[in-house]
Amino acid sequence: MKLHKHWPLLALLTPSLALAGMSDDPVLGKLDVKQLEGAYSEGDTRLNWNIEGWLGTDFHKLVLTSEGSRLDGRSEEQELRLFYRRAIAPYWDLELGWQHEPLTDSRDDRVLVGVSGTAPWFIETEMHLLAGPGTDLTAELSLEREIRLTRQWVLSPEVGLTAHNFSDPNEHQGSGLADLHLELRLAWEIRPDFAPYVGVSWERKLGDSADLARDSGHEVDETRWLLGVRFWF
Amino acid sequence: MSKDNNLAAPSRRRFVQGLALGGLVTGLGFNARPLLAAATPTAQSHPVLSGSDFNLEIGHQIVNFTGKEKLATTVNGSLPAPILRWREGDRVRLNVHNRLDTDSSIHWHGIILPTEMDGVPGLSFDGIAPGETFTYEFDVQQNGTYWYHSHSGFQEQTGLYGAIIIDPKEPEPFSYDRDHVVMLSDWSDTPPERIFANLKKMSHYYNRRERSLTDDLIPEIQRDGMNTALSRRQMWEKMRMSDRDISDVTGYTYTFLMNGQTPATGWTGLYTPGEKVRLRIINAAAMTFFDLRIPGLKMTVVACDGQYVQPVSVDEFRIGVAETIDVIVEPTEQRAYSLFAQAIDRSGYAHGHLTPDPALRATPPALDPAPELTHMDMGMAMDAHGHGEHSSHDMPSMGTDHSLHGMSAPVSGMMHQDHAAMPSGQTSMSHSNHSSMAMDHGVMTHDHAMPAGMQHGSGHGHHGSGHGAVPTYQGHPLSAGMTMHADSEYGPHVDMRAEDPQYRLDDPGVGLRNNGRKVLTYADLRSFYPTPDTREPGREIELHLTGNMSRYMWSINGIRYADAEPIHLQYGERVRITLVNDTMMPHPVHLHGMWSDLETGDATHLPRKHTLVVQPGARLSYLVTADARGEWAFHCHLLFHMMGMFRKVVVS
Repeated sequence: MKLHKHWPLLALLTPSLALAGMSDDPVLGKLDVKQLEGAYSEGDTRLNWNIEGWLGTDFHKLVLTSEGSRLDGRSEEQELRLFYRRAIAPYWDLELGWQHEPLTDSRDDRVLVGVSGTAPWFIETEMHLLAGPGTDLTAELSLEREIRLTRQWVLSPEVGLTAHNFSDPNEHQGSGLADLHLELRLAWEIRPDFAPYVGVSWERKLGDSADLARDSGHEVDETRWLLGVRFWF
Repeated sequence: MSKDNNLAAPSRRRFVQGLALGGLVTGLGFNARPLLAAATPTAQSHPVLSGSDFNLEIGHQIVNFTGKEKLATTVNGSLPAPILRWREGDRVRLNVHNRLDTDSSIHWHGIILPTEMDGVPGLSFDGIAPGETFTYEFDVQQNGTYWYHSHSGFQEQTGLYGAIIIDPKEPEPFSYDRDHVVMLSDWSDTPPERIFANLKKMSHYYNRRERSLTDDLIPEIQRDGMNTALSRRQMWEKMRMSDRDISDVTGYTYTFLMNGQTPATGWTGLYTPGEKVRLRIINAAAMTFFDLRIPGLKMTVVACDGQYVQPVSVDEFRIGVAETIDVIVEPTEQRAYSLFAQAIDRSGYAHGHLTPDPALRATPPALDPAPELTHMDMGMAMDAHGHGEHSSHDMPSMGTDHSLHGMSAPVSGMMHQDHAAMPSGQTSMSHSNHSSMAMDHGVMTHDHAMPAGMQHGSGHGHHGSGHGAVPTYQGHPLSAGMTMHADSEYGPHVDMRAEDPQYRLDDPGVGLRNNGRKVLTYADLRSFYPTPDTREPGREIELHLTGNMSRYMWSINGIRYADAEPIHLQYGERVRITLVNDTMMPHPVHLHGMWSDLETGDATHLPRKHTLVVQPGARLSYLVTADARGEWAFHCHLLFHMMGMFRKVVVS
């Protein structure tokens, strides 16, 4: 990852001679708490989070994301991703980096390659491929679109799909399509950068993954009610 | 004629918010004394400095426009800065002392002067360091209404702007009994650096009029039917663009000011019924275009950008950022008139009272409906659907006979828009005005191949050479022809390119078309004097105003200033600059140091301007005589576009 070793410093050194300290492309940082929510189902309440922080310029950003959930004060799942995001088209970015799962001893760090951006019809799109160890591959697709009901109430349906080319019985991951997420959040956008929301999520394991879950006595689908907040700065 | 600027209009009502600043900055350059404590009705006097020697002190000042105290950047403790009154023919000397803890500068906008007096850090001088004084000294060779502002950082947004009035040597070609400066601006409690960062992180942050289901779609379906309403949405949705994208920064954060007064306090200008009142309107906003009218009064436009024009009577005009427009009004009744300047996106307004008696207050009219962009504003040809504002009347496009160019014309007229499937069926290009704008393309030998120079950002495109014997008003290429885009306009930094940008000089612009009022357009402007330099331009430089709204990046020919080569002009040459707006918003483009003679079709009386507004998806052209040696700035005057949409112009 030599690419993002040097660029922030270079950008800082960019001279802006004629404009006395003004740059059209300053190094900025954003912390985007996309989801911070309680997720309720019968019996338990999880705390889910999906946070992205970046530092960079218009075209080059260093991104750190954390996604995970906690149950009874204990982290259940956690994914950390560190990657370089580069603009490749007016509405699209390329992403290259690592994924690390702090809670999983058996899983090595994986290499991440992805494309994210806005598709026609304002569909926010993320496509990621995670590779390793060896020839293990995981593909993820996530589509989300904001539907503005009123000036302040925004409905955001989201669909996510995961597929693997390997099986990991311990994690209930089977080869093929593995997981489908449907999520719907209704946000009250008090400010463009602060919006509490309610929502519902439905997740279902598919194919071999569903079989592996069933065999070990786990549920294959799960519905949760969400109450959370999105904010960024 | 009164030489007093009647800015000392008493206001009998006091408001907690937005009272004018008073008092000079104290020795520290930072006046912590709140200025709202006046216990008696205050005169809203605005300082006017006249003569030939001026001492200006740039400092900080506490202001309160919204109920919160904030720090502004001011000159002599005043926001706007003091009105400077010069005399044509004088040599003025301005000692500008910087009491800020950062570099500062003052640029005299529209003033013809030596390059080292122009006040652009990095081009004309090094800027004014903290604690330093810089003395500007130059001969005043012109007259009229101008303004001055900081050219450093975002100081202009935080208050560093003021009016310049230059009294003429010769009698003016019109008479008036009194004059008022009407300076429009936009104030935000949010620091400008933060506004800029917000735009970079979420470009629609300040657009609180995005389409919604209940406010827009459902009423439209009820009105127009499901199919029409949905197909109208389709194009914009596919393009990932918003037809409500009118202003980057809006009334969501801005309080719009008139002479430093909020709409709540309302600046007051006095008149005696029967008088002719000259209003010197200056748009000193950082980001806001205003549409100004005075319900009940006709306005006679007598000057634009400080230069006399042949009088035009209008009800309303749009004033771009950095433009100035002088009008004469003749109120006869004993009543207050509303000076109503609504922001182009209708997210708010600046307001004042033109009144014979300070006790009489005018009620502002309702804001017009929020405008929506049309195909025309996207640089597309008209289609048959007639989206909203279209009609044959407000179609200012000139018919184009592409066949004479011997090229396959893009009659479908679609704008190149990345990765967007475009709806079909938009193929009917209008030729409605063809006869009135008959072109003789036979004598034009524009080279439409993109020369390499343009791709390097110097923009030496289109060496038009065939205008020789043809009077400009006939040979002037008022029809667009085919538009080429440089390779540098393709990439992640540019989200659209106008495919069929038209000269739309007689287009009042989005939100003003067919509103029942006579709205000033550039086609109405004829210089009072004959065009001074009647030479044909030796060449043409075509520059495209480009950007990516969602990434909030701005550039010229797809190249931002930091990466661009300067534009070279040969001293003494006459050159045509053609601007093509490849974006969805109007850009006010300002060339320092030299006049821009706007080509309106009548070459004998080209209006001289310092700032030209290029409408979205449109083109315009102007002639420049490179009569000022040195390094000059050339840029979009929207503050948050400027850093990218900027070029150095070298005249040697």
